[in-house]
Amino acid sequence: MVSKNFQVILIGASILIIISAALFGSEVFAAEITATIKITVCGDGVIASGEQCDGASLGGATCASRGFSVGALSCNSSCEFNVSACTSAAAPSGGGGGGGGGGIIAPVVTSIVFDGRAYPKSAVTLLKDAQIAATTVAGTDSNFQMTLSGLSAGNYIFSVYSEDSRGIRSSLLTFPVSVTFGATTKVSGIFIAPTIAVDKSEVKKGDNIAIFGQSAPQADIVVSVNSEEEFFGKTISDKDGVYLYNFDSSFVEYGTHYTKAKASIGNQLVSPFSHLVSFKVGAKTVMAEEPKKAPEKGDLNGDKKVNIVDFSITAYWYSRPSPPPSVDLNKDGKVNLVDFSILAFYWTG
Amino acid sequence: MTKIFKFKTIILLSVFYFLLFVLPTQAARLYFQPQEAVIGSEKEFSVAVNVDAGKSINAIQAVISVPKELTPVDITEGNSIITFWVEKPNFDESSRLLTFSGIIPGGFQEEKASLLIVKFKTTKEQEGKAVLTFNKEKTKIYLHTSEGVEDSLELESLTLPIIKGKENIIVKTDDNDSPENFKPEISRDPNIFENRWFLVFATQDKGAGVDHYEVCEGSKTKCAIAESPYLLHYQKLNKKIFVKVMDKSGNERIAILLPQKQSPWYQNYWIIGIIVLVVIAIMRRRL
Repeated sequence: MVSKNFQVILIGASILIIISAALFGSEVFAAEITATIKITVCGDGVIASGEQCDGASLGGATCASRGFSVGALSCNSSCEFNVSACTSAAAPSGGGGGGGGGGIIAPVVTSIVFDGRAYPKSAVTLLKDAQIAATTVAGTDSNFQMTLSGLSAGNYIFSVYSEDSRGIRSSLLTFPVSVTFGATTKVSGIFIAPTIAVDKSEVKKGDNIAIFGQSAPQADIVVSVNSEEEFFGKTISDKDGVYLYNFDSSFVEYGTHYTKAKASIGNQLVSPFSHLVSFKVGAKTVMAEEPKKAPEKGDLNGDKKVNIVDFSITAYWYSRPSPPPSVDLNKDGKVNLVDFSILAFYWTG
Repeated sequence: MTKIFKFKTIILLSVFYFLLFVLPTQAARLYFQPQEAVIGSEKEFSVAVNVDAGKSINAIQAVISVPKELTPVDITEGNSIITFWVEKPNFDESSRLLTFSGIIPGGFQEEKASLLIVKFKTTKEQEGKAVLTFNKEKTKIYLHTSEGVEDSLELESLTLPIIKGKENIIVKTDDNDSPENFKPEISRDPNIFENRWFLVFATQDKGAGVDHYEVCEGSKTKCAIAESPYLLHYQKLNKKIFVKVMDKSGNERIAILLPQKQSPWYQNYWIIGIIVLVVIAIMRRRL
């Protein structure tokens, strides 16, 4: 009897799981996870992962444990050991030393360091609270580092994006960071999403469609094709970070489908998913146009950016009658928060 | 009996399943976080307006109904996740509604995120309770999507018991930091100001929040309180522009934009001065 009850409960629970997965599953999947970003604070006195020391906390290390004979080990502003006051041999005896000099008070610096990976030799842009704060060029290994100093203590929202070798922008990778006064906050593990494009806007059912883009060199790329059923394919990017995946369209039904890609390196560093790109499976093949470098929506003044200028133009028309069609992004005859939400989605800074 | 037991068990399981797994991951939650659970009459206290975003969101509009027992005396948005305000927080005394809206470009998905902190004062010296509520029809959150899709919402009201003679904890923080660095931009667009040049600017202040901006064209002393977008007075763009931002603690930062175009030589006082001096020198020699 108990087992029968248990069976009924199990069946009921299973039905619930199936129903809720059907109702909410696709939307939950749409939420992006940026799990590999690590935030550590250098200057808070706590030795975090990746730090040798932090302030007065040396983790039990001494000059002797660092291979010297005597001296005073200290910690520098990058949370690395400072062995400049350690010596290897005892100082020779001699006359009395002179008086000590005046102490130097180090200036209090509140800064933040960003470490991550983009695409080889790609331009990387950092946004601080949605406005461009710094740009850099990633190395041939796709690594980049940026430092911002002179910040106030408080909560910031940072975003990074990159442009691939064809000038196609990645999606924005956004993360909130709480900056501590007088400390260096280190944000590591940033991995910008791959860029993505398809070679055909419509593919004849049964033919292959090429899904390609750029990421870090030798990265594992997972390509997802979201149909009624989700298909995953794997490939590896080449030494320039370029990847190509040929998807067999016979696996999916006629109609519009969406694809996206994410990258990982050694299961340690995982990027979020790229933008969604659509293609159609039909009766004929139509080659895709060259991907546009300008954002699809929101670039009101035509400078290929969605930023504070576009926000201001939209804000000017907020709740005003008869807005221009170019400002009314969802074409409902009014400028309201929906238009601002679309603008925020396509934001480039 | 057995059938009833089975039915009850399934219903209970359904409720638990939805409460534990489905609801928390779906709806964004807007709620109040008071500084204290009980407040004193005729005293000031703070309440934070927070959001838990289970999915990535990028636009928020909130309308809060403030009871007559409370009066907002200050609103701090310094550490808000809202980067650009569409409507800055504003309290309308006649409707007793506190409204604000803004966006988070790039999206935001975290819990316990602060939208703003409101300092209230209890208006009467009597015991009772005050209830803060979100307006269900006008409070909206949008998901970080290309289509402007509304997120489902959980709105939590707050009931605060008011006790006569209770002393509230006053948290005072020093704010000596200037607002953040910023870079104003000059632009023009056929869609606004009849294609005339305008100035856009925005920054944050991580302390008390931005109080106001001033734009000074040509000289630091010729300033006007301004909002972005600001129609420039000198359309020839031949004047230096100073954009001053003041925070609520009185700290300021000035961003300077150099003239985009050079003034004609006859408007340059240095050149005129030199010419006058040269002419005087020549005339003196001749005399």
